[in-house]
Amino acid sequence: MPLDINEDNLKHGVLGLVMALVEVIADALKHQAYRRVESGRLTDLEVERLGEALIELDAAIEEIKEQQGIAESVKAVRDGLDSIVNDVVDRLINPDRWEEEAKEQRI
Amino acid sequence: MNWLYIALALREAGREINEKNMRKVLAAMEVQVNEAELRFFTSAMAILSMPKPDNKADESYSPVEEAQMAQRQWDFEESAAAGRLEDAGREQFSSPVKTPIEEKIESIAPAESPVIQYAGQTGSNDALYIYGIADKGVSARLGPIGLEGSEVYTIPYNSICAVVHDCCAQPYQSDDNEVVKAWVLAHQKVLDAAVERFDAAILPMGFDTIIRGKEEMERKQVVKDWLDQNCEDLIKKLTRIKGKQEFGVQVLWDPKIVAGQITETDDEIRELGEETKEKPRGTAYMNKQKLDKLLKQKMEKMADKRFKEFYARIKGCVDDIVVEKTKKTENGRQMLMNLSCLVEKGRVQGLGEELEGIENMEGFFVRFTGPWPPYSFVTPAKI
Repeated sequence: MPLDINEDNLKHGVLGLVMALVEVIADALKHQAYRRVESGRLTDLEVERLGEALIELDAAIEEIKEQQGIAESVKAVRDGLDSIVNDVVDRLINPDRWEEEAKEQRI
Repeated sequence: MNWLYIALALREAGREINEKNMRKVLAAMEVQVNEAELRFFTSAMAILSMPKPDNKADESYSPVEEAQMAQRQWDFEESAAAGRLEDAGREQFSSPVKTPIEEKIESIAPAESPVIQYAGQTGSNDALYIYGIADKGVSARLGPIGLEGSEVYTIPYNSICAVVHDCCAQPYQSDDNEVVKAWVLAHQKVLDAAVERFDAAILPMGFDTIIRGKEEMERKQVVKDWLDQNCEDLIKKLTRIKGKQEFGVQVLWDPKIVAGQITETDDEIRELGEETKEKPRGTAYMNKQKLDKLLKQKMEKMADKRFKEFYARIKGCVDDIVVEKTKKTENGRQMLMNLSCLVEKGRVQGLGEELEGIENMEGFFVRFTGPWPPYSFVTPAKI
């Protein structure tokens, strides 16, 4: 994973990792919220309150990233996670390629 | 330098330049003989007076290698004397490394020249590196244009021949990017040279295709047997690619531009956009999510549509086409399609015009590379 941690910015790195995870969780929350809204089971007021809460969550995350100057680190962590997940999904879809690669590694 | 004089003296006297005679002269001069030096210089002088070996492949132990061995031992003894690690010296001596003849002949005169080594090629010298198969049954030498300056030649069989050079039974590997780049360029140059020299179609082999000699069979025979077994198949492929070149075609788009286009033209999205403007903050936020998802769906449909459209248009301009996996790009653009096209030389311009048409569409970009040897249109037979 493209995480660049050294003694100077260890705090930087840990914070970056933490915020990346917070973003991922926030995404999951938004996804759930969206599904609730679409299901039509919420009242208008509830939809409004949900939306506002998410807006504030987004703002808070952005503010922290800006203050700590970790926007780059967070992006790097998320890109790394993306490529790992891509790989796994790719191998699930193409079990043959998985087998080939496993063989290669054993050799 | 005294060695040179001794050699000249022997020459003048009409005597052969060998160890025995050298010793006699030294003895006469009452000079102490340094064994390693003596061996090294005798073989060095021997090479200089010899004609250039014709077919390197036939000599298993050329005087050059003898000179190398001798020099290495000399280095070994020197370093031992200088107090450096004896282990290093011994290791260098026990595993002979292959180096190009031409380079060695020039560097042999100055005795201090270091032994040239490159990563990866140690071990038995009984394999052939194959660049490709040409559809002319000639036996020729293309000179020292191969990887690491190796002498490239051909092994003919009926109406085809394999373009090869001698190597060790190990793939060319290195951690140094520059080195690998140089090798790949050399591989490409050899193929180009072969096409020019023989005016033939050439079936390229991937980088690092090496055939090893088997137990009882000499490596050339292995290659000939393989050519024999696959003759028909190879000739068929050669006729298929004769007079054609491979080009890489990649179509990319800028998702922002395309998204903008869709937002303006698509009714569903526009309506939703209008609605959202009127709603209060929170609801608007949720609506925007819906909008984003819808937009993504439409983009994917558009990508699909364009892919099919472009594919049909390009297919009409080329002789054969292979769809490759799309790669990730960095400058905010997405790769829509990655194709390898086999085009007859005369039709290349038509393809170029078609691609220009695509490039002119807003938000789309084309990357056109080539000509390459037709790597993608050759499925290698199992060796």
